[in-house]
Amino acid sequence: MREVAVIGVGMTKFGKFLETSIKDLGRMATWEALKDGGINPKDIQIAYVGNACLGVITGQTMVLGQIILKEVGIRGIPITNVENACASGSSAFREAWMAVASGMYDIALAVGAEKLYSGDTHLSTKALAGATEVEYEANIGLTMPGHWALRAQRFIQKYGTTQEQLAQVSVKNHKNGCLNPRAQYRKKVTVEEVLSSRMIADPLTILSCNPLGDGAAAAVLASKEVAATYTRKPVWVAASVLTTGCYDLDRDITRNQLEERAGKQAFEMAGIGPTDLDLAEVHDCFTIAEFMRVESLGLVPEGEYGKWLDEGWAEIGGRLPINPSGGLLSKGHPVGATGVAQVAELTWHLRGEAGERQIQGAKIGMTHCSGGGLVGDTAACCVHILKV
Amino acid sequence: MAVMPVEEKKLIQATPGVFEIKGDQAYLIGTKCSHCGAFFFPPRYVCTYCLTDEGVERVRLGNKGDLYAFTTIHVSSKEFKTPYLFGYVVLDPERIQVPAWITGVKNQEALKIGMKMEMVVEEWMGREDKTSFMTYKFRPIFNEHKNTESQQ
Repeated sequence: MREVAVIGVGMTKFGKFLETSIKDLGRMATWEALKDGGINPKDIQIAYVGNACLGVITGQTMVLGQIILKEVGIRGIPITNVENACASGSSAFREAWMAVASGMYDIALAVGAEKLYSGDTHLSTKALAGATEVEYEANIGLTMPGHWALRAQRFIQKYGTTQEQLAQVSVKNHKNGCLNPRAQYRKKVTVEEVLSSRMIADPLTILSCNPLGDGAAAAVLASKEVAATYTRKPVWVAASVLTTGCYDLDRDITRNQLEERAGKQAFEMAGIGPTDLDLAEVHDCFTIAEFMRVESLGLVPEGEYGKWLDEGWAEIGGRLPINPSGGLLSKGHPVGATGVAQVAELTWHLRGEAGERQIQGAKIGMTHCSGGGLVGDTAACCVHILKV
Repeated sequence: MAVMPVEEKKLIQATPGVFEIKGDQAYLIGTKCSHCGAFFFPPRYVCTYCLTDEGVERVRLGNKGDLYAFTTIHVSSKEFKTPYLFGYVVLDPERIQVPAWITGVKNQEALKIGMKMEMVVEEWMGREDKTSFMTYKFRPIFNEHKNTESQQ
C-alpha cells in the first residue's frame, strides 16, 4: 500500500442554514479544499461523497455527490455516494484513501454534506431514527437518544459515573467550541445548565445531545509522489480502519466492542500507542457516547474518564485533549459531514493553523466516527490516525 | 397473561411477523440454532455463530423476562405521543435482549432494573394515516401473587 497524504481541506461553518441548499454547502467546502491545496478541479481523479439523511429531509434519495461536484466542474470521473449513518463522511474519506493507497488513483476527493434542519423537528428525528433497524426498533418507538439513554443508564449503574461527570463532557466541548469560528454553538454552558435543560431521553437532556445541523466538509488526498508537487505541507494518513458491530443479543451495552477492535487495529497500523496522541476528535453525539468511546478506543483506561474530566486531562492543554473543535455537541453534527470535518480539524492542528484552540506542537492525532444503533450495538465505526 | 382481544383482520403488526397470538397468550417469534443453542430476535435464519441455516428453526420465545434498561423518551417521530417509556427486556429463559415499549406504569419511577416483565399486545393508532397497528409491549408484573389468588 502506498503512503497517502491530505493535501487540502475545507469546511463550512456548521449551523442552521434554512436558506442555503446542500448543493451550496457542499460546493463551498469542496472549493475551499481545492483552493487550500492549490488543486485544479480537473486534477481530481475520483470522488466519494458522504450523506445520510437527505432522502428523508428533502426527498433527494440519490446522486447527491454528482449534484454537488458539477458545481465545481468536477465531472466525467468516478463519483460514488457513501452512506454509513454518522460515519458516512469518514467512510467516504476512507474510500478515497483506499483509492490512492491501492495505487489505482493519484488524487482523490472526499466530501461530506448534510442538511438536517427542515423546519420540522419531527421529520429530522424520523430521519435520524433511520440509523436503527427501522422495522424492529424505530417503528416501535426507539430513537437514537433513546438508544444512548438506555446505554447511559447501564453505564452509570456499572461504573458509578455521576450525572455531573457526564455533563462535564458537554461543558468541556462547549468551552472548546467558543474558540472555533466554524462551530454551531459558541457559548459556554455550566454543569447545572446541562442537567436542568429540557429532557430528551432520560437521563440525556438537550445539552447532552448533539444539535441538528447543516454543513459540509471536504478533503483532498494524494499519493506521496503527487503530494510533493503541491505546495501544502502534507498530513499523512497513518491508519484507516472501518469496522461494524457484531450484534450479539446477550452483550454488555456499556462497552463498545467495535471501538475496542477499531482502536487496536488503528494503533497497530500506525505503529503507535494511545500516549503518542496529541489530540483526538471522538464522536460525542451524546455525552455518554464520548465517555464510552474514549474508554473503548483505549485512549483512557476503562472506568476512568470521569476522573480525567475532573482533573482537566481532556481539556485543551491537558494530557490528551478530546474534541478541541467543540465536538459534535458544540461544533455541531451535520451527520454526513462530520467525519470529513474531523479530518479538517486534525489537519489544521497538525499544520499549526487551528488558531485560538491550537494544540501546541501537535504531531499526531486520531479521528473517530461511529454510526447507527442496531440491537444495542453500533453499526459502523471509522477511525483514522493522521500525522506530520 | 391476557392480551387485548383483537379481530384477525386487524392484526397488522407495526413490526412485521415478530409476534403471534394463540388463545389468550401472545408470543414473540424468534429462531433457535439447534447446534449452539443460540436464540435470535428478530428471527435470523442463518446462525450468527455457526454460520449455517441447517437446524435453525423458527420458535416461539418466552413472553416474560427481566427489565435490563429503561428510559423515558420525550422527543420522537410524529407517530409517537410523548413522553413514553422504552427499554430492553432480557427474555426468560432465552436470555436475549429485546427492545420494547414499556406499558402498565405511569412513569419510570415505578420501574427498576431487574424487575419481572410480561409481554402484552396492544393496538397502536399513532400512524398519520390512522391505520390501526398491533405492537408488542412489555409491562411489569407487580401482583403475580394476587393475580394467582384471584384466578383460583
